[in-house]
Amino acid sequence: MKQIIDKHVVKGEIVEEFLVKKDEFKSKPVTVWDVDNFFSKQVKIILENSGYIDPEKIEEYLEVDGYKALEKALNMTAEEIIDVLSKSGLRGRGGAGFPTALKWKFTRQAQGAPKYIVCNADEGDPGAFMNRNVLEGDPHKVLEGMIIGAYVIGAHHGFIYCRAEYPLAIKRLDIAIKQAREKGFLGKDILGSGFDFDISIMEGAGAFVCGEETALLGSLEGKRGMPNLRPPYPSTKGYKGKPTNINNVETWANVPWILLNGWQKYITMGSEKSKGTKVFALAGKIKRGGNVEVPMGMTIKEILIDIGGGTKSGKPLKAVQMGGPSGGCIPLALFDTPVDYESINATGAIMGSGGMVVMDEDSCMIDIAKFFLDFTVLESCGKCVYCRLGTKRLWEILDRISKGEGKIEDIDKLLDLSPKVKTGSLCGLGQTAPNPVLTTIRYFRAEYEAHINNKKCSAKVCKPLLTYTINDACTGCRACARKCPTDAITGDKKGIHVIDQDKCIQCGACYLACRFEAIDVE
Amino acid sequence: MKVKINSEEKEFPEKTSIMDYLLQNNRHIAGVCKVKELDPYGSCRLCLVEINGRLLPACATYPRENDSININNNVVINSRKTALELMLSDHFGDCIGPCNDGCPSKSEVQNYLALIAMGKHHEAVALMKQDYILPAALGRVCPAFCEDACRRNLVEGPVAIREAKRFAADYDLEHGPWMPDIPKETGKSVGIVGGGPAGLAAAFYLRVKGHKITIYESLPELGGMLRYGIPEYRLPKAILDKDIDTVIKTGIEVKTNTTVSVDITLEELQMKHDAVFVGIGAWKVYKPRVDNCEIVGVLDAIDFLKRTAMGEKIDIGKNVMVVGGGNSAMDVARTCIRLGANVSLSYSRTKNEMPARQIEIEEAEDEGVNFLILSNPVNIIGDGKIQEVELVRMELGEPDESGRCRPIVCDGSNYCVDVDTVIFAIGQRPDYELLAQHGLEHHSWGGARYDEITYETNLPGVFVGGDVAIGAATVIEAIATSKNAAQMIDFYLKGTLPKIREIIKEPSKHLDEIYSDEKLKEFLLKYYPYNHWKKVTEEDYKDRKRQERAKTKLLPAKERAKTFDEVELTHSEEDILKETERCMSCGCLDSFDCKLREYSMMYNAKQDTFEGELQSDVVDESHPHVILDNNKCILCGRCINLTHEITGEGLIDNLNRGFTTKNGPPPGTKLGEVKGDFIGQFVDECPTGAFALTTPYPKDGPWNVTPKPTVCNDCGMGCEMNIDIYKGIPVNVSTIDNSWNHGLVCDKPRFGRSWEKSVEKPMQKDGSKFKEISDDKAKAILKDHLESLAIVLTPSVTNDEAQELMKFAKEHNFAIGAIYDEGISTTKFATIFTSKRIQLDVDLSDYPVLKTFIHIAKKQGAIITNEEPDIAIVNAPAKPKDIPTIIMHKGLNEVGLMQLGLKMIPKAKNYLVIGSSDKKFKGFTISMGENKNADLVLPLPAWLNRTGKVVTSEGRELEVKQVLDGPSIMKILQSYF
Repeated sequence: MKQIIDKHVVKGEIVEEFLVKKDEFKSKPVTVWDVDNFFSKQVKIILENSGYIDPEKIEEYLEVDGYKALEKALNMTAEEIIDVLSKSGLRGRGGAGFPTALKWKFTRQAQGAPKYIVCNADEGDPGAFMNRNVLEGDPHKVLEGMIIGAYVIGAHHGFIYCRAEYPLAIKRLDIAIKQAREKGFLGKDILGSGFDFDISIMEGAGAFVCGEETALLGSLEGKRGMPNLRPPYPSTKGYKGKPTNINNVETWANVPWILLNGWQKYITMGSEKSKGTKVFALAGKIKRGGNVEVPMGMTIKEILIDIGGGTKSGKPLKAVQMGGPSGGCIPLALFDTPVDYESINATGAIMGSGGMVVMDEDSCMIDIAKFFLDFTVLESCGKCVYCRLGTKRLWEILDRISKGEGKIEDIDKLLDLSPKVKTGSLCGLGQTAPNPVLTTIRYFRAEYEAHINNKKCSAKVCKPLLTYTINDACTGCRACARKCPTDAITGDKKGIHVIDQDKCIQCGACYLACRFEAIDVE
Repeated sequence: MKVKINSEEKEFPEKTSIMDYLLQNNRHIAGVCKVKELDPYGSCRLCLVEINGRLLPACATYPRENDSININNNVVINSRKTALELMLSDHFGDCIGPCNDGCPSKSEVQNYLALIAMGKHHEAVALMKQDYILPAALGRVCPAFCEDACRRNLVEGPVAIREAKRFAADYDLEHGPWMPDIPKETGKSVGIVGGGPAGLAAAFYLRVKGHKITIYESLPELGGMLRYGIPEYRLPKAILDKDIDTVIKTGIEVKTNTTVSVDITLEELQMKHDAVFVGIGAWKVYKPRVDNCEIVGVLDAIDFLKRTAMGEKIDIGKNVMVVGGGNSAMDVARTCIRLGANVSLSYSRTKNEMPARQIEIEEAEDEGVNFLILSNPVNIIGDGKIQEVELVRMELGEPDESGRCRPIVCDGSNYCVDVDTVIFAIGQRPDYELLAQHGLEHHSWGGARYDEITYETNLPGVFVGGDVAIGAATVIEAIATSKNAAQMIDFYLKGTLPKIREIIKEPSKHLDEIYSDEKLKEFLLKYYPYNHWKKVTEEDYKDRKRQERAKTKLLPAKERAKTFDEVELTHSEEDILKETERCMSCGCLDSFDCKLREYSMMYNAKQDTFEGELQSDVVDESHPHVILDNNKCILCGRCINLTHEITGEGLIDNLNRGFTTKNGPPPGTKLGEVKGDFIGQFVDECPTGAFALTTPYPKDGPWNVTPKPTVCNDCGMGCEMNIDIYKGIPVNVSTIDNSWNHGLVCDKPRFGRSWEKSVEKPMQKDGSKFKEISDDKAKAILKDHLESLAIVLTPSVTNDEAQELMKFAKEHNFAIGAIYDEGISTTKFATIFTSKRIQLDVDLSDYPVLKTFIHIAKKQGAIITNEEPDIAIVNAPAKPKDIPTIIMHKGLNEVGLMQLGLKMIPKAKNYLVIGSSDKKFKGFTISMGENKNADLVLPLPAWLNRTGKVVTSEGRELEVKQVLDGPSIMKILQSYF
C-alpha cells in the first residue's frame, strides 16, 4: 500500500509489480495489465462499463450503446420481451435464483393497479460489494433495466431501495435519474412511446433483513422491516398491497445486455441451468480481493486461484464461505464445484448474492461458524421463534465449544436444532442462518471434536484453548512481561521468563510483544 | 378438491387455509399468532404441518389438488415441541406458585390466599376442597409442604399458609360450611374400604361426580389416623367431627364397625358396587429388634394412641420411655406427659435427623420430654413386667442412602434406665397379610401394587390410595393420592380408563381427542400441568421489604402439659390478612388461560432443553389496570397487530432486534403513559401472561373464572362481552370471539366497571349530600309523593323491565316516559366496511369500537368526507338522511324504549326515575339508582343482576342475560310500595 501511494499516487509512476495484462476497451483505448489470468478468465457484462465510463455523465453511457436496449424494448411487446428473457434463462441474482421472466410475468398478470417495481439495492452481506460497484460505476445500466421491466410489467413507478451506507451510489443514482429524465428516458411518454415511468430512491437504515423482499416492502411503506409470510407473494400483494416486482441490482443490470445482444449470445455463457455471468466479491484471506465477474459454471478453484491468486499468506487454502453470513463453508476438497445455483446448493452453501470469503489454515471453522452466526443473531428481525431464539441457542453452543466447555452431545444438538431452524423459520434469513454451522460440521467435524475432546484449536484462534509458554529463545528483555495485563509473566532480567498458567488469560499480548519468537502457542 | 390428510382422502374447499379447514372440522391445530380477521402473521411457528414432505405454516398454506398433508406426525409434533422449547428458553416467570406445586394435592394456595384476603372464606374453603378435604384438620396437622416451597423463604420466612387455611376453615365451619353441588346421580356406586383421610377423600371426590358411595369402616367412628392416631391436643375431635361432617353430608352412606374380611368380603363388595376403593392405611407397626418385647409394659405407639383416643385409661406408671423420632413418637410422648408420667425419649441419632416436624420436637421438649438422643434400646429387662430398659450409646457415622448419618454403636457404653412402660414408635406399614388374603398383590414392604397412573390394583375395578398404596405418610399425601384415584375411578365407571391412560402417557399422540373434549382437556391441564419456574436466589429478593411472619400462639407449656386442650390457637383475622399480604403472588395471573403453558403440556415441552441466556426485564406496572411483563412475552405479535391493524392506535411496537427484540410502548415510555381505548384488550389478545389485568381486590388471584356473556351498557353501541365470574365474584371483563363487535371491547367497561355498581340502601338528600335512611322511612317518603307521579325510564332499562314498569304504571295510573334522543338508524355498522365515502359527525372518542370500524374501513380505502357520502354516522337526536344512516345514542336501550312507544318525559309534580342518571327534574325526584339531583334514592340492582332485551343504536336486538343472581328492578320497586 505504501509503495502504491509513494510511487503511483505521489510520483505518478507505474508500480510494475502490481500490474496485470494489457487490454483494450471498446471505443476508448485504455491500457490495462494482467498477470496470470486475472482478466482473461473474466467475462464482463454487469461490470463492462464500470471504471471505463464516467458514471455521472449520461453521454458516456449513451456512447457505449446506453439506452439502446430500451429503444429496442419499446418497439417490442411485453410478451416478446418476456419471451427473450425466458429464453435467456436469466435467474434472480439476489441469491434464490428464481427465473426472472416468470416473476415479471406473474406481476404483469396480477390483478390490481397501480403496479410497482423495486430495485433491491440493500446489499447487506458483510464483505460484499457487487451491487455497490454497479451502482457507483454504471448506474444507468440499472435504470435502463428497470425502465424495461416497468414497461413489461405495466408499472409507472419504481423504487430503488438502497442502503444508506452507500452515499456515493445514492448520489450517482440521483444524478443518473435526473439525467435520464432530461433525456426523456424517464418521466411522461418515454421516447414517444406513450409509456410513463419514474423512479425514486429510498434509503434503507441498514437492517440486513430488509434485503428480504417482504421486509423491504414493509420498510418501504415506513414500517419496521420484518418479513411477512408468503403467499401472498409481492407479485400479487406487494407495496401498499399492490402487485410489485422486486429484483436485485444485478438482475436489472443484466436486462439491457440481453435485449441488446440477444438471448442466443447470453446462453453461450454459463452452465446448463445457470446462464450468464455472476459478479463475486472476493474477500478474506485472498491475494487479490475485490469484485470479479465470471461466467456461471466456472469452478471455485478457477475463481480463487486463477483469478484471485490464492491466499494472501501463501498458506494453503482451507475453505470458502459462499453466500454471505447465511451461506456455507465449502472445503478445499470441493473446489472443483462449478459455481451455479444447483451445484452450490448441493454443497450446503448457497449462491447468495455473490460473496466469497476465503479461509486459509489459520482459520478456525468453529470460530468462522460462530462469527457468521453472530451476525445473523444480531440481524434477525426478532419476529419468528426459530430465527430469534434458535440462532441464538446455536450460537451459544458454538460459543461453549470455542471456549472448551463443549460436550460431545453438543454436536448432535447442533445437528438437531439447525435443520429445525432452517425448516421452521419464516424467511430466508432464518432458513439459511444455520448453513455455516451445518457445513462446518459436515466438512470439518474433526475440528469440532478436537475442540470438545482435546480442548484444542488447531488454527490457534480460540483463545481459551490456547497455552502460551516461553521457550529457550527468551532473552529476558521483559517486553512480554510489561504487556501482560495479569502479571502472569515473571523472570529475572536477561533470564528465561515463565508464564504462570493460572494467571494467564490467553490474551496473546505476549506473543505479539515478543521479538525473538520465544513465545510458543499450543 | 381432494387432498390427503394423514393419508385419508378428504374433500377440501378451494381457497381455504389448512388452519381454517382444521378449525372448521374440529381438528387440533396449534398456533398463537394468527389473528382471525387479519392476514397470517407467521411468528409463532406452532401451526407447521407437513405438506408433501415439507413443513409449512397451516395458517398461510392453501393446498392444491392431491396434496398430501400430515397434521400430527412425529416430524410435526417434534417441530412444535422445539418451537415451544425455544420460547420456554427465554421465558422468565412462574406458571403457578411454588406453594401450589409443593402441595402433594396441588392445591391452589396463592389463589385461596387471595380469597381469604378478600374475606371470602367460604369461597376459599370451596377452592381448597377442589383439591383436598378436611381443611380444618389439615390446618392443624399438615406439615405444610407448601410453606417449605414458599418463595418467601428467600426473604424472611414462609407465609403462614397452614394457619391461613386453618383460619378460613374454622370460619367456614362456624358460619355454615360451604357444601358442593352434587350433580344428578350417575347410577354407579363405589364401595370405599376405610374411613380415614384416604377413604373420605375418595368418597368425597367420587360423590361430587354424582356416584353413590358407601364407606365401610371397621372402627366405631370415621377419621382413621386423624381420630385414632393424632391426640386431642393437636386435633380436637370436635373440629374433626365437623370437618368429616362436611364430607358425609354430601350424601355418603357410612357403615362403621364393619370390617371388610370379617363382616363382609372384598368379593362381596366387588359384586355390590361398580368399583371398590381400598384405603385401609398403614396400621401395622414394625417390631422392635429388642429381646423380651412380649412382656407387660411394652407397647406400640399405634395401639397406645388408638386406645387412648377411644377413651381407655391405660396404666403407664410413673416412668415412660418412648422410642423413636417421628411425629408418632412425639404424639405418644406428649400424650404420656399429659397422663402425668415422666417421659424420656430415646432416639438413635440427634434431633437434626428426627423425621418429626421441628415444631413438634420443640413443643415436646417445652412440655418436659427428656430427650435421650444418640441412644438405642438393646434389651428389655424384667420378668413378666418391665423394670428397666438397657440402652447403648450411639455416635454418628457416614451418611447412608437417605442422606442421614448412620448411627454406630459405641461398644461397651450400655446403661440401664428404670421404666414402667416403654412405647415403641418406630414406624408403621400397611397390612399386607390382609391384602394378600383378598388376592391383592403387594410389595415386600407391605404396600399394595397398583398402576402408577390409574391406581388400579391387579383386581379389575379395585383401586387404592393413601398409606396402603404409598406407605405411612402424611394426611395430605393420603388425600392427594385418593383424590387422584377417585378421578381414575370416575373414568373407570365411564368405561374410558384404558383410553385415558394412553392419553396421559402421551398427550401429543391424542390431540384431536383432547381438543374435542373440553372436560378431558381441563382434566389434563389440571392434573398433568406444565409448570415453568423462575430460577431465583435470595439475591433476587434482597430489596423486598421484610415483613415478619405472624407468630404461632401456643398455650403456655406448663399449662398445656396438664390438659388435652388444643395447644395451638387459631390466628386472628388481622394476623391472617397480614400473612396474605406477605404472599408475593408468584404464580402467573394467566395460569388458567396461558396458551404457552397449555401447549407445553400437550407437546411435553421442557423448560431447559435450550437453556441459555435469559432476558429479564422489569415488570411494567405503571398502568393502573394492566401489567406488562415482557419476561413472559413470546413475541407472537398479536398486541402489535391489534393496535396497528385493528384499533389503529399504534400503542405497542417491536423494539430492538435479534435476540433482544421485545414488544412495548415507544422507547422511554411506560404503558401507563400511552393513551388509548383498547389497552385492556391487549390482555385478551395476549396468549401468555405478558399482559395481565389486575382486579379491584386486595390480591388478583388468579382464579379459574367462568365467563358469563352480557351486553356492555356504557354506550348505545351495545358491545357483547363477558363478565368473568369466580364463585359469585365478578373478576373482570373479557371478550367474546364471535360477537357482532368482532371480539372488541373498549376500556370503559373493563376499567370503569359500571356494570357492578348498585345502590344497596335507600338514601335521602341532606343538603348537598345523601344520608342512608331506613326502608320504612323511604316508603313513607314515597307514599307522600304518589300524587301526580310520573315514572321516567333511563336508557339502560331493558325492554322486559320497561314492559313490566309500563304495566305497573298503568295499574297505578302513573304517567310514564323515558329519557332518549330521537332517531333510528337505517343501516347497520357492518355497512361501514363496504362504504367508500363516510360522513362522520360523531366524536369517535365517545365510541371506541366505532373508531376501530372506521380505521378498518379507511385501511380498505374508505375516506371521511361530507361530499357525496355513501353512509352517514351522526349523533342522536337526528333524522335519518337519504343515504344509509347510523344514529349513535349515548344510552344502551334508547332505541328499544322508543320502539316500545314510550314518549319523552311527561309533566308531573313528582318523578320516579328508574336507573342512574344525572338529569334534573322539575319536581320531587325519587331515583332508583344514583342521581345527584334526586331528593330520594332507592336501591338499584347492578347491571350484572339485570336481564331483558335491548335494542342498540344500529337497531340490533340483544338479549341481556343475568350474570349474577339478584332481585329485579320490579321486585325492589314493589317492596317500597
